[in-house]
Amino acid sequence: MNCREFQQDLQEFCRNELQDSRLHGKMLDHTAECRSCRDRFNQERTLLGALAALTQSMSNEAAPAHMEAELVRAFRESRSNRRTVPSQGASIWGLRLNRATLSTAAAFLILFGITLLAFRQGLQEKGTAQPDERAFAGVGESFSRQYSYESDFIDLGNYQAPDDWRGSQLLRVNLPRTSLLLFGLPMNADHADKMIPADVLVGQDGVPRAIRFVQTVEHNRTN
Amino acid sequence: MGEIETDANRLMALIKQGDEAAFVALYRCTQGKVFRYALQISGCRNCAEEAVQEVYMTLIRRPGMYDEKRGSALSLLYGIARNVVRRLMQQRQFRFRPLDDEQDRVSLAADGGETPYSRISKREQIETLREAILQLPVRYREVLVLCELQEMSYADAASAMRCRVGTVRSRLHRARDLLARKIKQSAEGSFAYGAEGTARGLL
Repeated sequence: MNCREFQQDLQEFCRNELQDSRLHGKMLDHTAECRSCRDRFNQERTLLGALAALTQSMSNEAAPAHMEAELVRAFRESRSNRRTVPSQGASIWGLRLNRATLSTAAAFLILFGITLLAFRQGLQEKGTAQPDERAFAGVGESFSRQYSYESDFIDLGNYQAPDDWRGSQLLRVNLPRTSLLLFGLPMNADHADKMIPADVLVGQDGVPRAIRFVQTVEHNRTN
Repeated sequence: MGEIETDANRLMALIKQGDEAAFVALYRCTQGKVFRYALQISGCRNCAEEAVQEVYMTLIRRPGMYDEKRGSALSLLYGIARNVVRRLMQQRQFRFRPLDDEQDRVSLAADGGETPYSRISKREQIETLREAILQLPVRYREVLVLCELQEMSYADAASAMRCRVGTVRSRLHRARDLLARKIKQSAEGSFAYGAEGTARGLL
């Protein structure tokens, strides 16, 4: 065995990990013959011993005890957040939901809620009266403002037979003035940031049928 | 694969499902290793504590990050710790304390053993070795700590360091050489220091 071969297997030799017993014997013979390799062998063995002693001396080192409680608390919070607040793109009932979808759903629920509220307040009237008349029969009397119409009723495209108004109702809502543009109506840009009242005709099935924008004319009633 | 590693791999799969008991069990069986690794690399107890916290918080934030095809759970934890420690050391402009304490040199020089290595048997010498490791360049220090002090396999060390097994072997060989030379220099009292306390000629 030459010095180069000895160096190649030195690590395993120092750790007593050589599988080949003949090779082990050759390594031992070489350390007896070559002073340089013997020194290297002794150095390596001492170094390994020192590293083992260092490992042993640090074996009790650990993170402070309070850290476990803090991390467990963080784990619980993270888990509950994941359950209650789906993040963007979270999966619920197998559907991939993003913020836009959730916003649309929320808007729909709000509109649906308004409709239900109107039903419960008894605004619905049995009969065949025209919707614009009914709107003022129940609501307009108590207002200290008088209304004129910015537009006629605009069909929203949800068909209802014209003679079947039973159970329909008008809802007075406030919309951004920019909504006028959606229906092709002119808008005064100076008032773009203001709201405009509108009457929404809602069928008995809760589906909005038509909309009419309303102008408000401020003045006190005399009678 | 060791018992701890097998357990850690199994626990990691349960943590993905939100199992708190699995998280606690994983923390208890691995935090000591992670802490000692960070301490041995940085030589700074605060850094080590911060690293442990960061490692497990990363796991909490991204429980699905473990992929058994890419290595063991321990490799993943060491890999995260490695990145955290490197970042902390950069942020703090880390400078290692040089062995310029006169008492250190006297204790080494006065021992009078046959070889410098034979003196590394007492507590002071263990401290000398620890500091010698801290003065190794980071890439050699990492591989030495992982393979020699943490007793990781070359494959797992390669996974933690994101390099090839051959790179681990060659770096470890070089690290041992450097360490042996540093210890010899230390024992002979011939350390040379740079202006900022960095061992000149070794980095």
